[in-house]
Amino acid sequence: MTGSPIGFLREVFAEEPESDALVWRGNSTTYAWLLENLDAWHGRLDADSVEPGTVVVVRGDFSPTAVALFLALVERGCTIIPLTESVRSQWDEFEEIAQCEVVIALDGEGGTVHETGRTADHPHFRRLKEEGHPGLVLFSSGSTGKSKAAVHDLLGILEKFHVRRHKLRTLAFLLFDHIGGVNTMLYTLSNGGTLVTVENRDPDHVLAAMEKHQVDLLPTSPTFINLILLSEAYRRHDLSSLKTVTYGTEPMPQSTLERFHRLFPDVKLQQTYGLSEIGILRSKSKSSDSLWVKLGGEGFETRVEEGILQVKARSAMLGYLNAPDPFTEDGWFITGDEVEVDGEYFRILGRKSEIINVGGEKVYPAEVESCLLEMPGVEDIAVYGEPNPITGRVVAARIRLREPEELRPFRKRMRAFCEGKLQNFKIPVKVELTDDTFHSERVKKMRPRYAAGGVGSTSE
Amino acid sequence: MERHDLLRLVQDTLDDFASMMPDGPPDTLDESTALFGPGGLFDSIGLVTFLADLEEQVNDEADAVITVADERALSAEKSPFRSIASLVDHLAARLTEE
Repeated sequence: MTGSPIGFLREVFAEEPESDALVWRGNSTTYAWLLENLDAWHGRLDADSVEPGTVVVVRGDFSPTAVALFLALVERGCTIIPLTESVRSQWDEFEEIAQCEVVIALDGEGGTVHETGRTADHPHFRRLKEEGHPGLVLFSSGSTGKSKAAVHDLLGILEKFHVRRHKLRTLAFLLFDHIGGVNTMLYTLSNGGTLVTVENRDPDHVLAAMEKHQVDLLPTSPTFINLILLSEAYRRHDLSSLKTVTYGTEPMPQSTLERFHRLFPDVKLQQTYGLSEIGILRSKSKSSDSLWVKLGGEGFETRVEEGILQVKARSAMLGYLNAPDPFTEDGWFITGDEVEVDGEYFRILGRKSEIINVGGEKVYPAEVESCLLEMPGVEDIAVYGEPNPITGRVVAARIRLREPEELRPFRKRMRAFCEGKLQNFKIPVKVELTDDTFHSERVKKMRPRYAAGGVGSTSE
Repeated sequence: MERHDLLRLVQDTLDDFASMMPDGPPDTLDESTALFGPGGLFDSIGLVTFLADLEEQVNDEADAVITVADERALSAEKSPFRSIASLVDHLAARLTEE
C-alpha cells in the first residue's frame, strides 16, 4: 500500500512472513498472520463505518489482535487511545476526556465495536483530521492530580522507526497504553523482531517467559529490577539469552544498578528517557553501572535551564486535551526533571516536584532510597517529604522489612547505618514500618504524598 | 505522667542521638543542658529528628496525641527547646492541655 503511514512496517513484515511477530499466552504468531489480520481489521472497520479521523478507544493489552488493530487504525488515519486493565476504574473518565467516538473492546482473539455518539471536536483532533494524520492519545500516570491526556500526531512518533536497527526478541513489559510500551512495540516490529507478551508483571512470571522465549531485551523500570533482586527470581530462571535491559520512567537507585550489574556483568544496562508528552529520546549510558547518559538523537534537542531538562522534539505532542499548552514560546517542553550535566552526559536526579526541601537543603528521594535499600533487612522503601514547622519539610520513609522488627531499635539501627553515608538532613526523621507494596500496576514507584492542610510534598 | 517520668524519657531518647550531636554527647546530662541554640547539643535537623522521636515516645507512654513542635511552640517568647528543663516543662504543659 503506497502512501500508507505504516508502509515501511508492511515491507518488514513481508520480508520474513514466517518469523514470529508476537508470543502471546505462550503461542507464537507470525508476521504473515499479522498482515492478514491487519487487512481483516480493515474489513471489519469498513463494515462498522469507522472513517479516517475517528477517535477510537482500544481497550486491551498487547496481543496479536490488539497489534493488528492498532496498525489498521494507524493506516486509516484514526486517532487511537489505548486503555489497559490497569486503568479500568478510569475508563469512563478517560473516554469522556478523550471525546472518544468509537470504543473497541478486545477480549482475547475478538472484540466488540460500538459507537459512543460523541463527536471529537477538540482543535487537536480537528487538526489531525484535516491533515489526514493518525493520532495517539496517552494519559500521563501522574501520581497526583488529574491525569493529563497528551495528543500526538502518530506520524511524528513513527518517523524514527523508519531506520532499521536490531532485530530483537523483546519482552513487552511496559504497558500498551504507555509511551514506553508503544515504543517497545514499534521498535520490535519495525526491525522484524518478536514481541513476547506476559499476562502479569510478577518477577517469576516475567523471568519464566524470558527464559522460555529466549528474550534478548527487557525494557523495564528500576522498581522491577529491584523486585527481580528482592524476589531472587533470577536464581530460579536461566537468563542467559538476555543481552540488554533498558530502564526508565523513574530515577534508578545507584545501589540497584550496581547490584544488578554485579549479578549480570554481561548484560548491558541502558538508561532510557522519555515522557508521554515528547516521546522517547535515543540514549546511551556511559557504562552499565553508570547513571550518566547521553540523550538526544535525530529529531530531539536538549537544553538545561535552571537545572531542569528541557526537550524540543519533532515527535512532541500537539498538546493536552485537558490542560493548558505546556510548551515554551519557542517550543521547548520543560520536563520537570532536575539534571546534572557533565559534557554531553546527563544524570537525572528526579522530578523537581518530588525533591524534598529540608531547611533549604535539597533531598532527592531516590538517593535516600538507594542508600537504605543497602541496609540489611530492608526489602523496599518509599521516601517522601512531610511538613515540619522547624525545617519546612523533613524526610519521611515508609519501609517494608524482611523480618518484623520494633520501630525504635530499627530507627536506631537505621541512623547508625546512615552515618557517613547520608548527610544528617537526608536521614529519615519519620519512619513508618509497613507490609504494603510501593509500586503501581505499572511497576513504578508510588511515593506517598502528604496532603494534610492541602500541602503537597513538593518543596517549592 | 509525672515530671520525673518525662525527664527520664527525654534523657532516654537523647541516649539514642549521640551520633547526631555535632560536638558529641556531653559529659553530664542534667536539666540545665542546652538542647538548641548557644552551646546546644543539636543543630536544626538533629533537633527536628530528636523531637519527632520524643513525641512518639511520649505519646506511646502517656497514651496521648500531643504535638511537641508546632507553630505555637516555635512562636513562644522563650523557646521550649533551649534546655532539657524547658522541654520537660513544655511536654508537661502539652499533656495537661490534652
